[in-house]
Amino acid sequence: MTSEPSEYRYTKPVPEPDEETEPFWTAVQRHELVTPRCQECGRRFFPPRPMCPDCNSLDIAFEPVSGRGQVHSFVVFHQVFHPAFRDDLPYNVVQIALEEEPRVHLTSNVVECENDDIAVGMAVEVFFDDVDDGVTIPRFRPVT
Amino acid sequence: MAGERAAALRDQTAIVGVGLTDFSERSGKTVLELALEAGKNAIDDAGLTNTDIDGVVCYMYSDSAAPGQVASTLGIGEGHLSLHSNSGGDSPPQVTGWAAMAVATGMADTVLVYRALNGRSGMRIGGSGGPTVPAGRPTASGEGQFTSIYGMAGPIANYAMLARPHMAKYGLTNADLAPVAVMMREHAQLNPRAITYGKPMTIEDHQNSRMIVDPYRLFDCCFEVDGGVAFIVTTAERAKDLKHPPVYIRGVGYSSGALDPDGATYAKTTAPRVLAAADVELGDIDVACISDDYTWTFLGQLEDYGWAGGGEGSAWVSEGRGKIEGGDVACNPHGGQLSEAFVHDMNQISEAVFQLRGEAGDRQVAGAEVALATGTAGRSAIILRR
Repeated sequence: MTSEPSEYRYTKPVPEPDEETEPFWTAVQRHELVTPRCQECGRRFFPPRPMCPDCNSLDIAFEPVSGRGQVHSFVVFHQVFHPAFRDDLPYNVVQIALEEEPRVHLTSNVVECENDDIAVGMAVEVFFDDVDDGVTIPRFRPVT
Repeated sequence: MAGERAAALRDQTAIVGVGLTDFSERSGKTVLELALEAGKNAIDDAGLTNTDIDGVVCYMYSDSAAPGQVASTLGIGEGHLSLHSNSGGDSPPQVTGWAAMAVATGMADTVLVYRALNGRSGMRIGGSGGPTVPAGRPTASGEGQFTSIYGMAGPIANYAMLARPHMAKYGLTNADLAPVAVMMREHAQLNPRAITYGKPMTIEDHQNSRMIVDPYRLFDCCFEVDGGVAFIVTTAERAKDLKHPPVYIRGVGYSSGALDPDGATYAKTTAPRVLAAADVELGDIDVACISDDYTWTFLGQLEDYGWAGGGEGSAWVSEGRGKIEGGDVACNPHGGQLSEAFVHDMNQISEAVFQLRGEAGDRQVAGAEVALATGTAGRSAIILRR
């Protein structure tokens, strides 16, 4: 593998928001975690879509969540599948079930925790990783 | 009831030809050549010629030969039916079901179903990201903006993520997956076509294989190959007059979208569907070619179908209940995706056909009358009978 020199401090992929997801990332920049929520039936869902999957309403707004949740699932990469993460091996990727709506699973990483100590059901809370100028990525850490 | 409407399909069609290429780590052929070879072999196996075929069915992930190209090169007639897909989630039982539906409803008489890929030497499923890291930094759009920014990449990780909650629920560890790999490898030693023929595996070998994406080691993952598999599906009537004893399609089941949270895999939803469609009970099944793309997805389906209780699949395997002889149901006599070859579960169906024809040689399940074949994570299933 060759890597060319970068003008950026953070060289892993950064999110490219679109019209549907822009409110989520704008909130993340403010260090706030939000999810779409149906204004008719109250259902939260993720990822952002224009319509409620339960009642099919188009009246969707982004509302904050506490940032707390539990580990629903996790894996640990020991082999490179994405070249930008080669130097992080072994690294975890998790699915977090949010406290407000356990059916919503956010993919993320758990930090401040050994991979061997991650467990399904572990309580976590979000923190906002300001990885570079104008780029913030939500990750999770164990609740102490 | 959907099960009652399924009677319209039941036993109306049959698989009359199976064509395989060699399975290797480097075919030295293009995907078109593999598709043509598998297709021609299937047509020959049926005792038919290219002009007898009036339909083509296939699916791919941008990794195979286009059906139009395959059809015109094989010389399949003008005005043929073409049903195909280039997206995730499709699988052989489902697309074979499309062929059966087309034949049963008169949209076509004799359909070629194929899948061919250089899955080992060429484009790997889920392959992305070249050997270099771009200058600056990459961006992730679409679904990737929520997943690949965290390093989530490749198909193995998706199925590893699927396994974890179930394994945590029942206190299973990676060591509990080993008996599945060992059983498949044992069966493959009776199968000269298997890519692992002559290469037995012990529990210790499994445990010593390197971790790929925890909880999956190398030997928990299917064996990618270059190769192609094709079938010919026609009417039950016509099937009686062809080269081999017909293998009738009894029923097909499929489920997409979200999983039933009470189950392990998609089979929680698909199993009752395919059993109802085929009007068979679990105990009627003699051969179960359960998709073993991963050891855990095999175990999960074993439980979702009901052969093993929740979390008890590993013990079930260790007790020999999936063996070719003397078990509850013979599982993957050919060695499955783990040990025959990963042709994306097409060869789960081909093995079912060989078993029901009585052509399985040293690995023949005595008296096999009814067989099940499933696709990735139990998403789809087909029940065949002789």
